[in-house]
This record gives sequence, structure tokens and C-alpha cells, in this order.
Amino acid sequence: MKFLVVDDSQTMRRIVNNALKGIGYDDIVEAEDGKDALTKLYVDKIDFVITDWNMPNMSGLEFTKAVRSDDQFLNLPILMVTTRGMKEDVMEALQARVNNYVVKPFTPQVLKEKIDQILKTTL
Amino acid sequence: MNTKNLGGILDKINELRALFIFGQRVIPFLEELFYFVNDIVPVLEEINESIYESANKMPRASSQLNKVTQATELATTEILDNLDGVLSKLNAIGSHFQTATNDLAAVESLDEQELKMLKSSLKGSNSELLAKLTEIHEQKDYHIRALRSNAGGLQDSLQDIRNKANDIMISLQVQDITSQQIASVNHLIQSVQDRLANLIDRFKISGADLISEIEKVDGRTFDPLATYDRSGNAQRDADHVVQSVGDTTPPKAPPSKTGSGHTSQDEIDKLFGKGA
Repeated sequence: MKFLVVDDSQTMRRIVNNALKGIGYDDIVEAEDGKDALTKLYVDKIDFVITDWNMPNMSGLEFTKAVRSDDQFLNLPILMVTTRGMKEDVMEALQARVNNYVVKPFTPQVLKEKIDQILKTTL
Repeated sequence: MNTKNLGGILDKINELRALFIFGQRVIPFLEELFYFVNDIVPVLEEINESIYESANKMPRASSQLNKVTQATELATTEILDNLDGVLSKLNAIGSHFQTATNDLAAVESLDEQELKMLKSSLKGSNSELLAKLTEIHEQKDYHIRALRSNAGGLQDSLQDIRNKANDIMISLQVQDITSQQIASVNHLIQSVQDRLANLIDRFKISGADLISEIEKVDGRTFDPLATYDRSGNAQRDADHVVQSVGDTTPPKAPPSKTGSGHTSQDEIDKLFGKGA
């Protein structure tokens, strides 16, 4: 299973990357923002997206909306991982059709739990 | 000159007198005003200079904050590199340990076979030697059990170190969160500097055009409410919202306008209003 990790923070990309490897997912592609992620989505065969919200050029929310506007990605699992923890933020992300939501700082257990939940409902 | 003219002159003199009386009353006030203005001008100049100085110091403060972010990012990367190294060594130790444990099990099994063969060949012929061999075997058994028990404890310790290393990695998320907080403060500094620059421009303070600009850092976006909270409350709240929505599977969206389902790089670029 190939993961796309989208975050403008190099630190966060490393941490998500390590957490994924720790739970057994080694095939990971990284992107610095939504625009970079969109390009990589069409180049690599991505099975699962983990995206931050606040990013330059194209935010995680704009990226999610752009992804969902394409038929071929209607069922692509998208997990939002962000510092934004307000109820309104979660609602907005769900309306943009992310599959689930993780608030930073997160633990690998929470990440695994959300990935498993999403895979159970989408595969 | 008739009486009427004289009356008019007297009226004018009275008016003039009233004017002088008013002037007498006003002069102290005017004097006070004069002294006040005299005093306030240097103060105003000082305020202007202060505004100008503050506006010029802001880019430095902003630049220093950016350096803090860069330094913490660099340090975090170094820590992550070291943690990767530690985890990799731990995995290697764990793997060697597993091999050693397997070898120990093999030795144990071979010993068992050896003793069985010796018992069978020495049966009834040399009971003294057999007893000695059995005793040695029991001692070996004791040491192997001790080795196995220590190995188990060591494996637990290795796992403990792995968990601690993972915990450190999770704590390093603080770098992303604080960098967003710093970006938020920087944004605030930028806004205050813009306001001060406007003030300076309005008051036409000399040297206003010399105000240095705040260096923009790669358009970093931030969450002004970002906080480092490991209580898990925010996640629980988010989970509650997700559950209340009921279905984590995204509903089917209407077909895209193009219908082909594939977006070209040009289309992606159009999203950003660029030609390339």
C-alpha cells in the first residue's frame, strides 16, 4: 500500500513517515503542499493520503476538494492530520470529504487506529 | 459734532474696552498654550523618533524569530536522525538476539539428543559415569534456563527503549506546533509594523522611507490556535464530531465536468491561476 504524506513541515513529514514505518507501511511518497501532492497523485499510484491542513500554495482542505472533484479519486482514503482541533474545523474537513481526522500531536496508536478504521470502510 | 455722534464714539470706546478686558483674560491662557506647545513639540518629536525606531527594530525581531524556527527545525532533524540511528541499532541488536536465542535452542536440542544417546549406550555398563553425565546435563540445563530468562529480560528492555525512542519522536511534534505559533507572532509583528509605517507616513517623519522591510518567509501558513496538548482531549472531541457525522466514508460526488476523470498538469496549474 502506497502512502502520500503531505505536510509543509519537514519535521512532521519525518514523524508521520516513521510512525507509518513503525506500523508496517514502508511505501511512502512525500509532498510539501497541496499543489505538489496533486502532481504526485497523478504520477504515483497512491492508495492512501495523509495530509496537513495549513500549507502554503494549496492547503490540505483545498487539496482534498480538488482530489474529490475527480471521479477516479472518489474513494481514495484521505486522513487529515492537523493542529486545528475546533469542532468547526473538523466539520469543514468532513464536508470536504476527508475520511477521518487526527489532531496533532498524535501517537502512532491513534494514527494506526484511524488508518485501520478508514481501510475497513473504504476497501 | 452732535450728541448722537458722541454717543456712537462712546459706544465704540466701550466695545474697545470690553475687547481689552477680554484680551487681558485671554492673554494668560494664550501664554499657557504657548508654553504647552513649546513643551509638547519635543515630546512629539520623541514619540515620532520612538515610533520610527520601533518600526525599524521589528524586522530584526521578526528575523530572529525566523532564525529560532530554522534552528529548532535543524535541531529536530538532527534528533530524528539520531533516533533513526538508535532505532536501527536496536533492531539490529534485537535481530542478533533472536539469532542467539535460536542457536541456544538448537544447542539445547543437540545436548538432549547427545544425552539420550549416551544414556542408551552406557545403560547398565557404567552407572557412575551416567550419573555424572546426568548431573552435568542438569547444570547445563540450569544455565540455559538462566540465559533464556536473561535474554527475555533484555528483549523487554530493548522494547522499552524502542517505545521511549518513539515517545521522543512524538514529542518532537512540538517543533511544528511552536513554529506555527512563531509564524503567528511574526504575522502580528508584520501587522504592527505596517500600522507604524502608515503613521510615520502620515506624520511625514524624516527618514520614514528608510524603514526596513520584514523579510517574508516562503509564505508559511499557520494555525494561530496551535497548542501542544498531549491530553488527547482535542482528539476525543474530533472523534466525537466524526462519529456524530456517522459515516466516515465520503459520499459519492457528482461526476466531474470533464468526465474523463484525469486532470492534466495544466489543469492543476489553472487552479493556481498560473500558466506554468
